[in-house]
Amino acid sequence: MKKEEIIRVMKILVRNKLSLLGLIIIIGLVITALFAPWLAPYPEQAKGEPNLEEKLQPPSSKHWFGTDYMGRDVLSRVIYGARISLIVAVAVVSLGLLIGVPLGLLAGFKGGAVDIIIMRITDIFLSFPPLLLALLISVTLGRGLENAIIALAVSWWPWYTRLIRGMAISIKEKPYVEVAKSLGISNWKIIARHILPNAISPVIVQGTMDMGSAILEASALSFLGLGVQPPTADWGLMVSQGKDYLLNFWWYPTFPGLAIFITVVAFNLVGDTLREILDPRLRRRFL
Amino acid sequence: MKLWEYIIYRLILAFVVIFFVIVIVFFVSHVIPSNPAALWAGAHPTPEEIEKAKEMLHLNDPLIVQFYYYLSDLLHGDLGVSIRTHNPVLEDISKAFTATLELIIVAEFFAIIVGIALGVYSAVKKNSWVDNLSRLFAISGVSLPAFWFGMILQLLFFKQLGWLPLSGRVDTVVMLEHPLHVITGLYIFDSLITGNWAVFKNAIWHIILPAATLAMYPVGLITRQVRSMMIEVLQENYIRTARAYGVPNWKIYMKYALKNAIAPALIVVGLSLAYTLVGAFLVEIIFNWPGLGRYATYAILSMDYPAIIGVVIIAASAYVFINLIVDLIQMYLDPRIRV
Amino acid sequence: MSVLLSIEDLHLNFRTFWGTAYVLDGVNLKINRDEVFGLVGETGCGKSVTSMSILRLLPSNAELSGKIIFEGKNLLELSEKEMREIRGKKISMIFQDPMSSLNPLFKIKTQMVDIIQLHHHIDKEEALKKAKELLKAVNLPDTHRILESYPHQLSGGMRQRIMIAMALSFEPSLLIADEPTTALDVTIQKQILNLILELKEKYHFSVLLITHDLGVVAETCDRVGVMYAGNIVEVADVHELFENPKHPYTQGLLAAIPDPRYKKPLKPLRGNVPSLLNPPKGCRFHPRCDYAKPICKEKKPQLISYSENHAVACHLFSSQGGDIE
Repeated sequence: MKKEEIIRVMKILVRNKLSLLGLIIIIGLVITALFAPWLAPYPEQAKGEPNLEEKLQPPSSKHWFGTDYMGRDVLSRVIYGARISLIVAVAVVSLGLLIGVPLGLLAGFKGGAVDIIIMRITDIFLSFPPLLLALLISVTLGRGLENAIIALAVSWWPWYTRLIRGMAISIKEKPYVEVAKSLGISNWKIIARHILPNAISPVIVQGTMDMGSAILEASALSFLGLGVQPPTADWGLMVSQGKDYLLNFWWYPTFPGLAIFITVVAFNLVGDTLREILDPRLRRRFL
Repeated sequence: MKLWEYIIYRLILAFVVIFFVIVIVFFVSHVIPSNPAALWAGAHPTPEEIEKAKEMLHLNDPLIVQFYYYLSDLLHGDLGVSIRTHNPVLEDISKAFTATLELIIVAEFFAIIVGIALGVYSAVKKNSWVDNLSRLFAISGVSLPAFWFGMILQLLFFKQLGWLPLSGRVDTVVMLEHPLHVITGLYIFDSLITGNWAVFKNAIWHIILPAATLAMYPVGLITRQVRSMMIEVLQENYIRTARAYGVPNWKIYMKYALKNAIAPALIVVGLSLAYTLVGAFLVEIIFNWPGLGRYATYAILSMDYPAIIGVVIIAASAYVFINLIVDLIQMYLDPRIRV
Repeated sequence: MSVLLSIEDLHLNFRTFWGTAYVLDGVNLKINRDEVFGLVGETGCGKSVTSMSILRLLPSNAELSGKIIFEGKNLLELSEKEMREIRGKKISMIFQDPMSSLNPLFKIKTQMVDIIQLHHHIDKEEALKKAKELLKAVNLPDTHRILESYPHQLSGGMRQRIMIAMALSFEPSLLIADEPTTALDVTIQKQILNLILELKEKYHFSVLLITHDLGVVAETCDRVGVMYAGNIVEVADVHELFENPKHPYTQGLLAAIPDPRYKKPLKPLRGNVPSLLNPPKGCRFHPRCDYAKPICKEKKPQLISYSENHAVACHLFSSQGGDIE
């Protein structure tokens, strides 16, 4: 993507009220994650230190979001949870790209049997209902943050393979690639010099838009007890722990869930506008 | 390619995919570090009992032989026996399946109606405040953690307002006082055709919250897709033609444009159905709905792998066939593809 | 001759992402009963939006002002409901691309019957009978097969005939044909144009023919208007225009036609069509005009009569100007 194009896209994102809101929330989230120890009123409790004298206190000026079953400040834990969510989002998407992009390039550039084999494998992966495969792998690998990330990435990559394969095929037939081939330049060099740089930007945009869904699916794994383990502060896990306290101590599951919701909405607000700009069928509406 | 040739091709492909799903699920699930024989033998097993259980479950054989046994059982419609419940997995699944099916049908029905209505309306009123509101609503729909939203609805409609029941599929008392003659296993349908109004009312009462929770994601997906398809279609020349002949707007939207927009929008209906299959996992836990999802979750948490494999195979097969049916409907709607 | 349609000082602006585009800049034109009026100009000069303005089929970001008087009524003052009574019934339209102008998902039967039933309040059977008559009128005798077909199963020429048949459902008094032959083969083009002329004789309607093809104009039209960047720059009888073009732009257009009779060199117009977001002041043609004078950059020339059947909007022919030669 050229520099002017990035600037143009950013301008549209800022001009649209809803995507601007999304951008502000995402920036706020990153700041929260970076400065969590300074922002959280009780950083020690966020890391898991119990505070049994103040079990299940309702929201007050001392504990804005109330306290949980171990008396820990829910606000502090929600602030620390932003870290886990961002790590998950970035890790899942980059791992997915790391697996998906090389395979897609290979399939698109080589064609023939390699293409058929790779694409049939992605078809099979894609024929699992979303989340089900991640669930299965998570169960196999055991509980924990790293395993949940791997499980999600494994169910994630085929989308990128498909996307980049299509790009690679169309770029492969461009004259400059034909020229490079006729000059005897090696395949690896052609892929690295011509195909990858031209194919990567839509994939990266797609990846950014996917971070919201990655956070959502990871929270579902956490909720089922397959993700981060206690006492780490994680939004999905907090909702899961708070589930049994719902009717009498509403704040406990409500605030962490709200954090998931707002974060995912922010990513999707930006993604929705990006899609409208970048989808060639819809693009003409902006011209 | 003729239509029936295409259908046969797609069916073969579907079976190949399902076969590979079985292979993957089988081998993946057998890597799980657990002790199924001990689970099978029950509480405080003696070493002999464990050995006997291992023999029963073919656990002493190499993995490939176990797979052979599994496959041949599968071909006879036998998915093995659940380690947790000691019932045949197929029996457990078919009992749970109708409960999930009922939930999915109601949720998807609701989602399609609301999604199409909202999508068409926002496309027609593009960039109005209604459009922006429906956009925010649709994006919220696909961003909601279903397990959390279900809890919020419970808090609101059960705790605060007291309008709707907290969880379950039907009240046991009502079922005891008005026994339901089960025909399809779909309580709403069965009670309706047998005229059992007490159960009918009670079942509807119970399904509202879980179905609404499950429908949020499909509503968002369908609304956005119908909206963008409608906007695209409304720019087409044949719509201009219809306008140029004085066809009233409502007829242009509801007859000419909608049919063109629906065919591509069907893809997301398929996609959203697939989502509800898995979304039901989470929603069923929250609402204690006796369906496939709750069964699967318990199976996963207790490492009951015959049950896990069974559920995954059933869900994946359903997913593959839903996609196949969606493609065929799409072909039927668009005569350009149907040659 | 009585006037059927008269457009007076029509302005049209589009608000777009980049600013306001001044698409029509005071268009004036009259169409008489029973005549074929040709509107020519390059792509983007505003000839198609002029026709869309007549039927009020513009997108919502359009701002329209001026007058369009049709059979004594100003179309711009009618409600949407009154407008629908005009569309298809009094003024019909056929479009450039007959492929995309028919809905691909409905049989011809459905589309024709729907439109026939719109204004004639008759049942389906009668509407079908009427559809068959119309198809026969446009020389499509195989009516049963065509009615049962989907658009993609028919050829371009057949689809355009169907469009014409639909346009004639209510014996309109004006038929707008927007580049009706551009998307068709040369041999088919001629047939379609002849069909339109034949039907015009039979049903007595006027035709507004929009085209960029001066050859088509010469063969079919009675009078011609030349458009440039949102203005009508010259209006004349067809022979007068070809024999005695006045406006430098018209002269340029005619000089750019290859003429096998004379082996004169082709003389393309220099420069490019101006951006309508920021059109040139004064006469919009002046940056490309070889005869431009200081006044051309300042003041917009009005369309004034040069002779009885010839009007031109150019300072060279107004009181302040002189003749080109």
